[in-house]
Amino acid sequence: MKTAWFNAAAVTALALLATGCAQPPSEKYSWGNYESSLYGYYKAPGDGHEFAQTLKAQIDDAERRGKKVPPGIYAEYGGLLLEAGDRATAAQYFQKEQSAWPESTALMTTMTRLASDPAGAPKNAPAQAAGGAAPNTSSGSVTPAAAPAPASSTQSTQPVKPAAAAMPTASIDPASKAN
Amino acid sequence: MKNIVSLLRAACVAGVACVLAACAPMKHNTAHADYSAFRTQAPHSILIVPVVNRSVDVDAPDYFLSTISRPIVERGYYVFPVNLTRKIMADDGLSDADMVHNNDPTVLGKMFGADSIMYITIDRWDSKYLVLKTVTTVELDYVLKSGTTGETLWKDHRTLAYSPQNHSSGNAIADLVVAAVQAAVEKAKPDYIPLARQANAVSVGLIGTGLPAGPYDKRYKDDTADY
Repeated sequence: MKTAWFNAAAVTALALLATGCAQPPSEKYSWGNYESSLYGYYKAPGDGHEFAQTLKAQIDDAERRGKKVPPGIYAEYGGLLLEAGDRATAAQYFQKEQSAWPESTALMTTMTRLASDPAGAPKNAPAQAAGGAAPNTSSGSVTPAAAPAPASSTQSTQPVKPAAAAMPTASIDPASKAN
Repeated sequence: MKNIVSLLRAACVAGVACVLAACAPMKHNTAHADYSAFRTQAPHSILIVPVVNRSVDVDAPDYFLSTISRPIVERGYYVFPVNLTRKIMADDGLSDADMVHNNDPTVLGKMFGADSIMYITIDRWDSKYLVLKTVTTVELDYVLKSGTTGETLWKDHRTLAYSPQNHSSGNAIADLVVAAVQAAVEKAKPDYIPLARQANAVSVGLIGTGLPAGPYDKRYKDDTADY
């Protein structure tokens, strides 16, 4: 009788040790299956559909239970939606991220603009923002924040080349190495 | 019979002690890092850039990325979405982690609007098979730099190893067989993720060397004695 009890206790303790301890339950946030589904997405990269579904489930569950969605989750989901072509919903989620987390403003403004601008080059836009920011800070600060349609249509006529040329200069330029 | 009972009792006590020790994210540590630059800059947000891989496992950087956001978020910081960051950087020709690590942090700081940037290097991510024992090791190097000034705010280095443990059943031959099987199983499918999670938790949380509490943590600016 005693032996069985100690057996069970030892097995439970070891099971906890093996699986539970590095991940104490979060008091602040609702993580859902974020980590394991991100791992799964990298292990078997596909169209991200499954990962997107898990994120949506995590978000819906957290909102329903009134628990906080961790930083970056709305944006991750928005990013996957953008990739899948659902620009309108992607923009909504980027806005949600920005409202929930003011630290994300710069990036979310750029991503929202990408999602709203149908003629833009989505892949190079953060580069355009940086390319605009690096040589001339005043135009750089205006560009990402300019959301209205007229501004975005002028931006969409910007060819991709200057951004591509600006990016390498901004990042590889030996003069910019701080070390 | 009595021997087995006392052995199990000892194992249970040891097991519980291990559980408690492993669950405690902050242990007492004599080392104490210099937090003056960190406290001056007081970053609210952290951007995690592509991870440099010095290990023999090509999948290590991606798998590792799935473990790093949570501990830093729980510590009270805004962490930029790692998958979106990875995509943006790849699309902008910044997928070469070595190149990113060698460049000016302020460029990325401006691009993403990040207060600080976390540069992580995987030095080891392997599983060594020794017939009766397999040792799985992860070794990680962390450096946090300011996104506005480029200076180093915090750094840490962690090595964690895991080897499956077996109880002695009293039968020497049976023990050897079990050990051999466990070693082979661990080698065939080493589980790096719990190790990586633990390394991150210790790195971020350890008193004296971990990250100070971030703006979303209730001990924000209240923990200057520990950090």
